[in-house]
Amino acid sequence: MTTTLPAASGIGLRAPHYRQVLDSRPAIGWLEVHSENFFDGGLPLAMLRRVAADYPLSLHGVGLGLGSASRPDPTHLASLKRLVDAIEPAAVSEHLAFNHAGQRYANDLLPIPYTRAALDTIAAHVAEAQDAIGRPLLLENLSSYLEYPANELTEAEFLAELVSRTGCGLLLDVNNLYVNQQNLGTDVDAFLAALPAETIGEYHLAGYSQRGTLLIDTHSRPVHDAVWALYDRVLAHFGPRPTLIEWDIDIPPLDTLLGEAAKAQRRLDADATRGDAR
Amino acid sequence: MKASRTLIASALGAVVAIGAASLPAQAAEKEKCFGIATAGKNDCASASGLHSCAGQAKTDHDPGDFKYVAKGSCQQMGGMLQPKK
Amino acid sequence: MSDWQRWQAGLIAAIHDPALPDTAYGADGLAVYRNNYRVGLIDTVKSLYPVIAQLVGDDFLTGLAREYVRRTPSASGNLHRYGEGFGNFVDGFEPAADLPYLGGVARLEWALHRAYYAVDATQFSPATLAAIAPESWGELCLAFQPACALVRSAHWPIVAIWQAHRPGGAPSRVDLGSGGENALVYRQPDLEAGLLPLSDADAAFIAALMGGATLETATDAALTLDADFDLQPLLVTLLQTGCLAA
Repeated sequence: MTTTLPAASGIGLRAPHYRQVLDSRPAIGWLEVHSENFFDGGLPLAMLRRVAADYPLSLHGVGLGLGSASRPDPTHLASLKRLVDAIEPAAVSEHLAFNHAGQRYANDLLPIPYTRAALDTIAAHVAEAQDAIGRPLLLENLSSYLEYPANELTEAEFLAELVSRTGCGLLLDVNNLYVNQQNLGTDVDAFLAALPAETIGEYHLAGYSQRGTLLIDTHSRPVHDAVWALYDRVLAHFGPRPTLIEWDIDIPPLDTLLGEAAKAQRRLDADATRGDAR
Repeated sequence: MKASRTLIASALGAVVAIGAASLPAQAAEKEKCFGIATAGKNDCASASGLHSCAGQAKTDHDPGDFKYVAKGSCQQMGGMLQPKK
Repeated sequence: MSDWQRWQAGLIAAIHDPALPDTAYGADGLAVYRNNYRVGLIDTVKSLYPVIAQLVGDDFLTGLAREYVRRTPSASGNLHRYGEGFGNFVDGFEPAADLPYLGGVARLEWALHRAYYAVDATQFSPATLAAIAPESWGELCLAFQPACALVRSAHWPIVAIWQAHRPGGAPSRVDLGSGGENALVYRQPDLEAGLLPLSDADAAFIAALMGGATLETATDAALTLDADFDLQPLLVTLLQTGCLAA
């Protein structure tokens, strides 16, 4: 298994809520944090150890850039390994994205070329990262605002190839899939059909914003109705998985996040009931 | 004996004599500070939503050239003084 | 370099330099990534320097951060690593020349930032000294915790400025003519970053040790500046602030 998270809803834990979560211990299935915010040591790591004592924890990386043509930064990998060893999280995830060319970085999640040649290189990077931390990763599908003009595979086919070559698992971000459907015309049915169900270890849900003709994956709003509807389709297709509410900009009160997580939980529960009946 | 050697002999001798008492006290309740933003604490990244997997919601309008005037507490220190030589 | 590798390098270059043409990548999508990059780094820099924000106000700091980001491409996937050279940039930035102490205060804030996140290394134990013949103590090289840093300003009272202009406090007047100050930055027992002012001789001693000098060479450096330099209280301070590593 690539994750030991419970198949319940969780929330992304962000700094404005550290104190409240530690003090009030809200009833929530699990928590996810961004790995890089706890790299190295000091107070953030000490705080995370306390959180990890009370909740199943998922480490979600945003800076490794495994889809880059150049190799992952060994310093970054070493920091991630130190964190994984210190926290022993229930899941470790990253994005199928690139963020550097040589020593030049964009601190973002950039879309990769879905080609056979890129697949060879990127599979090697995923394997290198998994070897470094000593456990499999969940790789997340991306929101993209542009595409490589000569793609040979779809994103979903590329992800499935990575799974079979490296033994990694998948993190299906439902909002990203929706945003790509709207921005790029991604075929949702084909996307879902191409993913190996048993390797999906987690779902993400978040709110997007609109800028001009593009939907931007800003994690700044409640989950939109259309994304809830797609989540229902995903649940019907793959079954329940640990499901995260992500909110990173204009972060609301903790209760608002917990309310979003409760909505996801009701859908998970309903799906589990349907599953029992099946 | 050189002045530095005398200093080292007495200072390190004293530290050896004090022993563990010279080490920092362990914090009894270090968790009391979690989530409280105090000056000198730089939990900037997660506090401002950086390292998120998200796109930026706001747009930076680059004016092209620097045309700002400092309007902070530096004014309360009076105008600029020449460095002491 | 193959086509897909060239495409990636080109996209990074286009994100870093908004003056490059956007035709190869689609203008709308590239604009999103260019904005993400710039806003993310500007916000990162601004969040690192709360005392500078207090000193110059939000607009001025935003302007400084935007200029810094324009000149300083990101070199790490970990944003905690970005912004180190901001103090040096401010020193050389003409529109900030009227505030010549800003760079030193910024270097102090960077050291506090690193002290907050740095790796926890094993503490130095005084028992180590007992195991070494006292005649050899002068040959010792002492290691410092990654959280520990020395910040020096030859001309400006950076510690007094920092203390008087912390966000949330009531800013107070600082005599800018009072001369340079040095600060030892360290991690407090409650894991917050803290700082202590240091004399020039104390700072010279620590700078020498951090540069790899032996205890004797470092002590000589301090004595050259101040014949009354006293090692013992400084050594106890270094131990009690947890600055020395095994």
